[in-house]
Amino acid sequence: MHDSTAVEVNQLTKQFKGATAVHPLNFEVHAHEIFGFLGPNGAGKTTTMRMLAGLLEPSSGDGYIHGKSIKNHPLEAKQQLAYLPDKPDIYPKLTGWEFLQFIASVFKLDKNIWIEHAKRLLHRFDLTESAGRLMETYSHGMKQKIALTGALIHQPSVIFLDEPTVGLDPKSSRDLRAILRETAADGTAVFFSTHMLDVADQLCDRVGIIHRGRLLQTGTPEALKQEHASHAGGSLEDVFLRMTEQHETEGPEGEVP
Amino acid sequence: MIKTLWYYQKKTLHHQYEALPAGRKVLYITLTALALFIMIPFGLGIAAAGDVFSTESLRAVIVYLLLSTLAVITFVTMPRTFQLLFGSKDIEFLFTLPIRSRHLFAMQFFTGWAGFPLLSFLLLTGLSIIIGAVSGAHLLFYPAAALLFFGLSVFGAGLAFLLNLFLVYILPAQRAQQLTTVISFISAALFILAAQMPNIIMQNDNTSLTIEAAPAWLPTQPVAAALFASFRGEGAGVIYAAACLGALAVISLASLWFVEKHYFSSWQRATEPVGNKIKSTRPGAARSVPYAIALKEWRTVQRNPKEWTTCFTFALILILMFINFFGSDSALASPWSNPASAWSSVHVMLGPAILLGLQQFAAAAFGREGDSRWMLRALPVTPRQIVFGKFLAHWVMTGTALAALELIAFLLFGWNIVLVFAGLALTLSLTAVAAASGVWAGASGGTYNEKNPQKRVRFDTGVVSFFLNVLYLLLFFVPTWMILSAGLSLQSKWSGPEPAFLPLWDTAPWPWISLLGTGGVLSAAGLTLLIVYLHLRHGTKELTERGVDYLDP
Repeated sequence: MHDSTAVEVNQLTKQFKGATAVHPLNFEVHAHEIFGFLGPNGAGKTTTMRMLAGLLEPSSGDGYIHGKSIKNHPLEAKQQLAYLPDKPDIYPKLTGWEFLQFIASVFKLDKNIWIEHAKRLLHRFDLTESAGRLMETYSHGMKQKIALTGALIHQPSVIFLDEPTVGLDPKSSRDLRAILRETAADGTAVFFSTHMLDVADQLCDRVGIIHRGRLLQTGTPEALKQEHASHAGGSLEDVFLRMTEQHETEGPEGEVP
Repeated sequence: MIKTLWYYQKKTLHHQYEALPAGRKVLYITLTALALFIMIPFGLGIAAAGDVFSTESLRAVIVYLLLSTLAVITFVTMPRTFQLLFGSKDIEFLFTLPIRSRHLFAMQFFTGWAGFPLLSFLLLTGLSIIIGAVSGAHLLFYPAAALLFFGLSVFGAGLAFLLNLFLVYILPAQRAQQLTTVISFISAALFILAAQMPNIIMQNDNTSLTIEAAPAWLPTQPVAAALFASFRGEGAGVIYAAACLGALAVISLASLWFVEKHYFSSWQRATEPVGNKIKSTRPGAARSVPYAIALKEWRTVQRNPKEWTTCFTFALILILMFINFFGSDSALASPWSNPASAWSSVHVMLGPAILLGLQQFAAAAFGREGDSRWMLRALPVTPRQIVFGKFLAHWVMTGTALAALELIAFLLFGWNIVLVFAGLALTLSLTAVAAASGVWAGASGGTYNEKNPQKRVRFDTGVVSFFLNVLYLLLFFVPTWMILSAGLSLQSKWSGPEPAFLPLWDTAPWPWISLLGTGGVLSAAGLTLLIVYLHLRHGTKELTERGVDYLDP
């Protein structure tokens, strides 16, 4: 049985000055699901995620967060989502705690609940000691982790993460994966982009492969590996490389439905 | 190596120019043409003014003018110089290459000189040609002037670089990183002082235009001597000019030796991570969204002295007005014997200072989001909440600061408590208007450019905003006049009449005083409410329309 649809992408398209960065995309991500968005540099992953998070106006089409259009009802949609960019530049002159309180204020969270939740996440990310310091003194990894804490304290039903493991040390990276699994188990749809195919292979319930703004295929890592077993090796990396190379050679016509 | 670096730097500058939008290029060309056009009557005016002075006085004027030009070149160049030496992204990479520090320094120096110092050199040389042609200067004067002004521009830029290196070397790292803030203020203050130079020099005697000889030790004395001698075609002109340029060459060599030793260590100090004492470990309850935004804004401003630079215009307008008032025969020259007059004078000055100065501070509210701008738009926050939160922050910040100043003045000058409350009503109204119009400017024309983070508002919006505030200044004339007249009349009932700075009503009967006072406060409040409402409403609309890319130029 399928869980409810958390993210619905309907003919979502983005053009920049005549060039199409994202061709019409159609797919769904469900509650309890970890969806990995895979693609080489410049494939359109970040553009798609920014459109779905309400940071970029789609040229046409729409994205829905639990049925709420990000285009027409952005506030209702944003109430249910969290977004973590690849370079999480957040208010340098606020301390970690002040930043979290700001997020709690925006989402009108109960004091006891959010503080308890934040303490748990900060402890998990080894940020308890540094949460009282200005964020401008944080390393890239620490910024990533405090931004993720901010994204998780309001317990969103959909979370978009753009390359979340970049810049994290091995322990933080493992903790992040564990947290994402727990978050998904609690009912949140986790939508993340990555270059790290082994991470995607281990973590994702389903993946989508995007190349030159076109979605080549979606499916579980196992299904994709089986489907391409005769042409590629046994790993998701082999499948990914084969599909993107094939698309490169054949051009847009080679798109797999 | 130096050739390679210069080539690379020239290419970069060239590409930067090529990448400019066509409109910007046209604007620069127009401004240059305008400057050239203005230079002709300006030069003719200076040449005519020169005839009024005796030779000794003229020499003193030139010594002082050259000195103030040198100071302006140095201090105006310093913030950019700091950025070039310690802030530019390519320096870190270049330090990893086998390149001598002095070569890197020379490359940055060339880039730094090719800005304001070069412009000053061209303007001064252009003016010299006009003045020389009108006044019949000897042919020797023109190359001498060009060389001397080139030397002056190089010396000014060099001083800017060396001062930065020296200050970074002696100051603690945290203070050194805040250097540009202080320098920006000093350079702005110097600009004003340079503009006031003729008044300051001639303050003692306005009629005879006789000025005492400048002290012989001033470094611009030999430059003035070279200009004078070459103007008359004397051989001494060549000697003086050569001596000046020779001295410059020696200083340059000595500087390069200093640079070789200290540039890298200074760069390390200026870029080292700075420990911060600010701690907060006691999280509190969630607030309302506008309040949370206002709090965030306050903390950002309070903790970053660079943000205060946007208040400099306010401070400078006020300082300038106070200098002129104290120097004149106005009430401020004796504020203790005429408290109500001093009170009214201060509030007359506050109007333009607040409306033309503080609105720039509020206008920076959106550009200040900088790299974090994605955050507000990824959160479920409405444009109305953002605009209101930012207005609240800026009004409270500026209103509280001015209320504190008002209370200090009350204690210092012995103002009556009624006058203080009337003054507070006026300043809080004006700060509300400045905050609202600034926030509107930021919402509709706020911008952020990583390469020029201090530019917070588009040029066109800034101009419109300036004229709007001039209009508000005119509109507030009526309530201001009413409040100040009521206050002055009230004081005259208590302790006799005082001279009024403006044509204020200082001997009104009681019913009129009540009417003026009440009417003034009510009309100020009404006008404020209307302007604030319109600005916030329009700012919300603009922010909504600009969407998520609200800081794009």
